[in-house]
This record gives sequence, structure tokens and C-alpha cells, in this order.
Amino acid sequence: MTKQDLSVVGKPVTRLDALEKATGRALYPINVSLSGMLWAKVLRSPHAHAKIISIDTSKAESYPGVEGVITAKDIPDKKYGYGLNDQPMLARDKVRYVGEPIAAIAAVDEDTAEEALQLIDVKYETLPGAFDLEEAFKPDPPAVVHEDYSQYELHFFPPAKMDVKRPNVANYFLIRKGNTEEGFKKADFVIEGKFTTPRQQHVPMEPHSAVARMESDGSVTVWASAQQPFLMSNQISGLLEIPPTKIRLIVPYLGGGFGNKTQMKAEGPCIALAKKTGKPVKCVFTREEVNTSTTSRGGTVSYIKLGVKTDGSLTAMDCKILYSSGAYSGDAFVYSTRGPFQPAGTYKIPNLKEDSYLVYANEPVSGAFRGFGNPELNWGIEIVMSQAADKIGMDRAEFRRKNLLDEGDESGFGEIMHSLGTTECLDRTLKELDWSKKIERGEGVCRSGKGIAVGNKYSIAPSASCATVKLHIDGTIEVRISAVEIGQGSNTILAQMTAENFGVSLDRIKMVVSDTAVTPFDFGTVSSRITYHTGNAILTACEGLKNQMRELASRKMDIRAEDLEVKGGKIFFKKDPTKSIGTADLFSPTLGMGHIGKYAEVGGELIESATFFSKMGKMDPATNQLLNKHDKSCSFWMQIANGAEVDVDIETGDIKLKKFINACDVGQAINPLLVEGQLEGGGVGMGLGLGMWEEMILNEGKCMNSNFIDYKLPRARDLPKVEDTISIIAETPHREGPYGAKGIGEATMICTPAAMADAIHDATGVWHTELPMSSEKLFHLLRRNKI
Amino acid sequence: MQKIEQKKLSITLNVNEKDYTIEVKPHWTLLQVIRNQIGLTGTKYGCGTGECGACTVIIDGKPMTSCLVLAPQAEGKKILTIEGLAKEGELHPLQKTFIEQGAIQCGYCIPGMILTAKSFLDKNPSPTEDEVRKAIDGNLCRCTGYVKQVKAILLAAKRMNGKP
Repeated sequence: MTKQDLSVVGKPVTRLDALEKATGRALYPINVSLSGMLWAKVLRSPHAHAKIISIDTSKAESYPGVEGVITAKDIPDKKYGYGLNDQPMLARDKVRYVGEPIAAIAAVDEDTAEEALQLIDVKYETLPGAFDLEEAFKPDPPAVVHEDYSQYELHFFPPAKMDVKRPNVANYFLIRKGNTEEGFKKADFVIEGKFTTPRQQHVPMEPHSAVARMESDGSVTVWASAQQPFLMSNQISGLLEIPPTKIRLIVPYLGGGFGNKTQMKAEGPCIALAKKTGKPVKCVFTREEVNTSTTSRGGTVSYIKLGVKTDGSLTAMDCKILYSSGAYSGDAFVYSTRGPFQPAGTYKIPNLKEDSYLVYANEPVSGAFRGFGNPELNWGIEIVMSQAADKIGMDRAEFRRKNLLDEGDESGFGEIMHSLGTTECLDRTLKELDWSKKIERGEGVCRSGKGIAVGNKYSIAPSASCATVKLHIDGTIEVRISAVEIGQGSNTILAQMTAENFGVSLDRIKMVVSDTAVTPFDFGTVSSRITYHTGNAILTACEGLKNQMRELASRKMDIRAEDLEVKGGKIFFKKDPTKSIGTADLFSPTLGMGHIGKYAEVGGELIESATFFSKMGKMDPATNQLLNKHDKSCSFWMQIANGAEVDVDIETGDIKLKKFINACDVGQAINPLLVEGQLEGGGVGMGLGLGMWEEMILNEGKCMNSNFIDYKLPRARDLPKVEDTISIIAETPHREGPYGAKGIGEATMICTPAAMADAIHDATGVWHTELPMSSEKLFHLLRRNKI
Repeated sequence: MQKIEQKKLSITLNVNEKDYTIEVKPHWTLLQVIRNQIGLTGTKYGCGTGECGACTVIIDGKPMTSCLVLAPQAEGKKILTIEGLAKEGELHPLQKTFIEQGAIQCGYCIPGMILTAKSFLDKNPSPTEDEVRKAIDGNLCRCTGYVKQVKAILLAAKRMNGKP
């Protein structure tokens, strides 16, 4: 099928949820309210590292209006995590970060719960803490965060690699391709740099909220803030010893996620309190709790070394990166093994060495965050690439183009790459930047510059999505999936694919989403994976359902099933389309004309389920090179190019972003309007935030800016004008993608900081090495460089 | 432990042209009361400190962060929430342009954003882009980068002025 044949896919249709969201009717977890519901509040640690000597809850328990108090002794002695189970739901013997939950209270209203929280008496013995990332990484750190690390339960991913010499290392990942020593020997120049990135807040506008209700059969229903309903359900099951089949997780619309709502947070305390009190319990985190006690993007320190020849070819790259895990491994356990995909998926690097360490510290827990460890590495790599181009006197864009991975080239994992749109992204970005026309930097106070960066984002494998599609008597196609609508538009684009497949209009599709009692398994709304995985599962299920429809129609029409086609709400004879029946005709009346309903003569329902699974190929554990070059290291790769044009006031360091270009290769845009929304929100919204302003300030583990005055988020006035925000959708169809689609969400912010750094350097001649690149930092950099 | 029970006040709030007589504690915010007592959950809690704009409602024509207004202070005033914006089933031009332009993603900031924009356009019917950006600077959106929201507001202004 060519693009021209598509009627619903590829069209900028209005989101299915737009009307209810524009009128205030949309349901979010924070809006769920049940009769007789109690309100829960969580008591949190004021210390970054301390032993818990005693917890006295008696005063809180006898406070009027309090119906239940829980501490660690009221729940099983279990831990949870994502790869490594190291985190308790409520701290048991020790607290490891400021904000760690210790106890929870359910009371008749929010005020009472809040008041009673003050009555819990916890005695601590404070301990020295590990705070600085490089200090915590040392063989003799200021504090060991997890003394019992070696006894923790590992699951899901290849075993954690512990460094016995470094007690705070929670995980280790490497890549060895070729021989970097030899590679650097062949280089004419070796460029090196050290780069840091800060801890960044996700700031989903909706705080984490949950409501739990015990049912009469002992099961529990939870309205959850869950991007990965099945992961969370399993975490709850493990922590509270409830069989997974007795947990029903319902996820309404989420008010943003960005990786912040993957793991269990408000849900656990709600369930434990609902169990204890027998009443429904609701918990809404305050903004301060969201900012300090959920998860954030951990800070990093990276060392990048690049070997380059005067002809512009690369000879070797060596990357070492430390990811701050915070107090628990959170999603960072996997994060620290997937950020290192960044150097592997953009350039032809014959010799590549990477070492990635996840390091515990007494800081807030690090979690999944849009880009999953990749913007952190991209920013250092791209600066070193520009420095190398300058060194050999080659144009920064030409140097990149020369080294970009092309169809059939090998990635850093040794796999054969395909379906790449990198060159298109770069070319179109350069055109928008008018790259060949160099701008004069200027001699005055205002200096101008242009910058570029390229990069990639993988999507995780192994990973599976399932889908169920059902035909209703009126021709409605019901789609049951566990993708979560967090704002990205998954319901809309998945409905578009279904409508396209059946040749019907979008209003014939009914989405039933994320209710674990009803909807089938999905790995979750992470890693830009829903379009590709859930989309593929739906299309396979659609084909199966159409087969069923043909079989049933064959009996009614007396035409062989293989001679029939399903399209536009009809089943017709291929050779003579006038011979057709409608979907309603597939169902038979029982008594009379069917006023007590119609039924499918065989099979009970016209329903079909399917699975789509992305396999990761086997790798040599000593090198993480694929044993078979035609296997995959990930589900697919998205390619990216960004461009920026800035004016810098060299007296004040003030940076004015005049133009920003975000080009991503999405395979095929299922809905260009929604893809643009991702490019704008991820690029100038979140990417610029990471690049220019956002940074959690921690003082001995305590967050000093857990509000929106002191934590600077991009606001409408900070960003370039509409006409200067340019989104480029590059479409190189992926051979295995649904209608050729890949993904988009995370790709949008990978290169933003690097493109800004390049533009600022072009304007001023100085390189930032620490994010965010605030005007204040630039001011000092300019003075230091006597500019 | 002795609990000091605060006396509740009986107040009447006029929300979306309808009077609600309710019992509130004196320190309850208008946001809490609109959501929990009156049951209009279109107005959102985002930060509780007036920094994100998600709880914006229009009080006597002015956009206010309802988390910083005590419920009793709002007595005798006309309060408009997102639920009261569409008139007789007809969406406000801003609601239409937000939907058409793709200005809505997760949607959580949208009620506050639209009400801020409405109040702004009522005073400045033909704004420049810079003026629009200044007007919504107090409303945080983490999904969109504001691009399509600014476009939607400018387009709504045009249409409200009778232009296509």
C-alpha cells in the first residue's frame, strides 16, 4: 500500500479526547471520587541517610478522624524495583533520601490526615551521606548506601554487574567493538572532554494520584497513575502479597507522564490502607512530594574521547559515563544500560568502547525520563564532534554527514542498520538554517551563531504488546489495549490504524483502554514504543478478525472465504462487489426479528487477539556485540537532527533563541498534527528546559528548589515565536512498522542541548561543558575566556 | 489526642451562574471547594502555590489561581470555571481552536490555559503574539511547548473579531 492509498492514516485528524479535555470533563486519577472514601497522607524522611530507631504511631492512631496508620511492620518485608528489587514501599530500618516514605495515614478528610501526620514520632540516628556523584563512585565513598546490595533480588534484565571495589555501583554496562587502543593510534587528532548534566524534574502537570477500593471477594480495584499498568500491578502484587489476578488496575487519562509514572508510587499506600480500613482510600501527592519523592532524571558525569583523521573519518570513540541512581535503582537500573545506546546508533565508529556505571547516592530516586539516558550522552558526543570538525578544518555538517550510519552499515552493537532517515533530517535542518550562508559572528555586544546536532533514539527490546479487536453488530470495531493515554495521542493514532485497516471512518472505532481486568498485556507506555508495538499487535488482530468475518460470511453467502474481502463495513465478493453483506448480517436473530439480540452462529463473539513481540538478539556478554548481525539490539532506531540560531549578549550572557529546528525520522507519521505536537513539546519545551534552565539544586541530598519559582521551567515567553519553531517530519518507512511507522516521543529532546551548545559556541567561541547552559554560566565562561 | 474542630461556615458561591450553598472550613481554598464540595473537577490542582496556573478560574472577569483564594473570599462574586464556558452546547471559540489546532495533549493545563486566554481576549481582542505569550506566561504546560496554544489563541481572537 502506498501513502496515496491511505485515507485515515497520515491525516492530521483531531484527537479523540480533545473535546472532553477542552470542556473539563476528561477523567484523570485525581478526579476519581468514591462514596465513603478516606484521604491518605504519607510521612516522609527529613534525613538523607539515617537509621530508624523507633516509630511511635499511637498518638496519630487515636487522633479523631484517623481510620488507619501503616508503617513497614504492617506490610510484608518485601522490596521492589525494575531489574533490581532494592526499594521498600515504606522504610524499614533505614532511610536513604530526603522524602522517603516511612508511614501513611488514612483519615476522614485531607486536613485530618495532614494533622495526624505531625503526631507520628520517629527517632532517627543520622548517618553520613554520599552526595557527590564522583565521590559516591569512589572505592572508599563517604557512605555506602546499600550494605545488603549483594542479597537483593534481581529479575527481568541480565544480572546486575556489581563492582566489588566500588560499593555504591548498582549496575555496570559495557560495549566493546573493535580495538579502541589501535583506533586511537591511527587517529591524527584525539579530542577529549568531560561533561555533566543535572538532575531534571519531569513535572507532569497532574501530580501522582491513586484511589484504591477493596472488593467483597478480597480483590482490589485501583485507579492508578501508571504508564506501565502491568509492571505496576506486579510490583503491588510482590510488595503486598496480593495475587496479580486480584488486582484490577484502571488507568484513566494521565495528566502527563514523561517516565515519572512508570513505577508504583501513591498506589501502594492506598491499597495497604484500604485493606486495613475496609474503605476506599485516595491519595494525591502535593507538588513538593512529586518533585522530591517520586523520581527525576539523575545527574551524570561523562568522559568522551574521539579519534579522528584529517580526512574526516572517525577511528575510535571511548565513552565513560556515571549515572546517578539516587537512593534506589528505580528505573535507572535499566536506564544506565540503555543510555549507552546513544554512541552506537548515529555514526560509523569502527572502534567503540563504552563503560556505563549506575551509582547510588543519598539523593532522590532516579527514574525513567523521556530519552532514557540518551540526551545525557548525546550532548557531550556532539560537542566533541564539532570540536573535531573545527580541529581538522571541516564544515561541522559535512563532517557529520560523512560519518553518519547509512543503510547496511553496522551499529555499535554490530547489527546491520536499516530504515534510517538521518540524512534527510540533517539536510532539511541545514536548509531551514540556511547553513551554507555563514553568519558573521559580529564584533559588537550582540554575537550571532548557528548550531546543529544529530543523534538517535532506540526503542527497547525485548518488548511485547497485545491487542484484542471485536466486531460489534452495528459495525463498531472495539479495540482493547493497555497503552496509556498520557497526552501523546495513542488512542487517536491506534484508532486511525484500525479504521484504515477496516476501511471505515474513525467514528466506527471504540477504544477500551488500560483496565487490567479487561485489556490485554502491554509492556507499557515507555520508550516511544506504542505506535510500533501496539499498532502492530492491533493490525495483526484486525487481520484475524477479518478472517473470522470472511468465514462467517462465507456460510451466509455461499462463497469461499478466500474470495471475500472486508472493507468499509461490508463483506463482498472480490470478483463481483455487488454481492455483499453488511456486518450486521453476520449476526443471526434468536427469536422473531432479533429483539432479544443477535448472536454469532459460531465462536461466541467475533473477536480476535494478537501479540507483537520485538526480540533482542543474543549478545556476547564480554562485548555486547550481537552474535548475529541480522538480529536486533532494539526494536527500531529513530534518527534526529536539530538546528538552532542564537543571538548572545556577551556583556550579560543573555541568550536569545531566534530559531529552532527539530527534525525527526518517524518512519511514517500516523497523525502529523500529533507528531508536530511531540516535536514542539519535546524540543523547545522539554529539551530546551534541560539545555538552558532546569536543574534540581540539592544540598546534602535535600532539594532546595521544589517549586516552580526556584525551579525554572520553560514558559511561553521563554520560547521562540511560532514561525521560528520549525518541526520537520522525516518519513523513511520502517519495513516492520505498522504502515511504516516507528515512534517519536523521546526522539524529540535528544539533541536539543547539543544544538544549543553548538550555536552558542558559534556565536561566542566558548563551549559549555555543564548543563544547564544558563546565562549566568555563560557570563562567567565569557569572562574566563576574556571575551 | 485532642482535636480542635474548626467551625464550618455556610457560604453561597455563584459558580457558572448557579448558586451553591455549602458548609466550608474557613481555610479551605476555592480550588478545594470547587473540586470536592461542588464537584466540578475541570479545575485542576497543579502546585497549590499559584505558580502553575492549572487551577485558574475567572472571578468577576479576572483570571485567578483558585488555590490562592479562600472559598469564603469568593462569596458574592461571579465565578466561571471551564464547565461554564460553553453556552447552550456551543463551544467557546477558544475551545474550538484549541481542539482544531492540536493545542491539547494531556489536557491537564487546558482548563486554566483557556480561561486565562478568555479573560485576556475579553480585554485585548486583537493581541500580538508577544502579548499572548505574556498573558499565558503564568500557565505551565509541559506537553506542547505552547506553540499550538499560542496559535489557537491568535486564531480564536481573529474569529471573535469576525474574521475567518
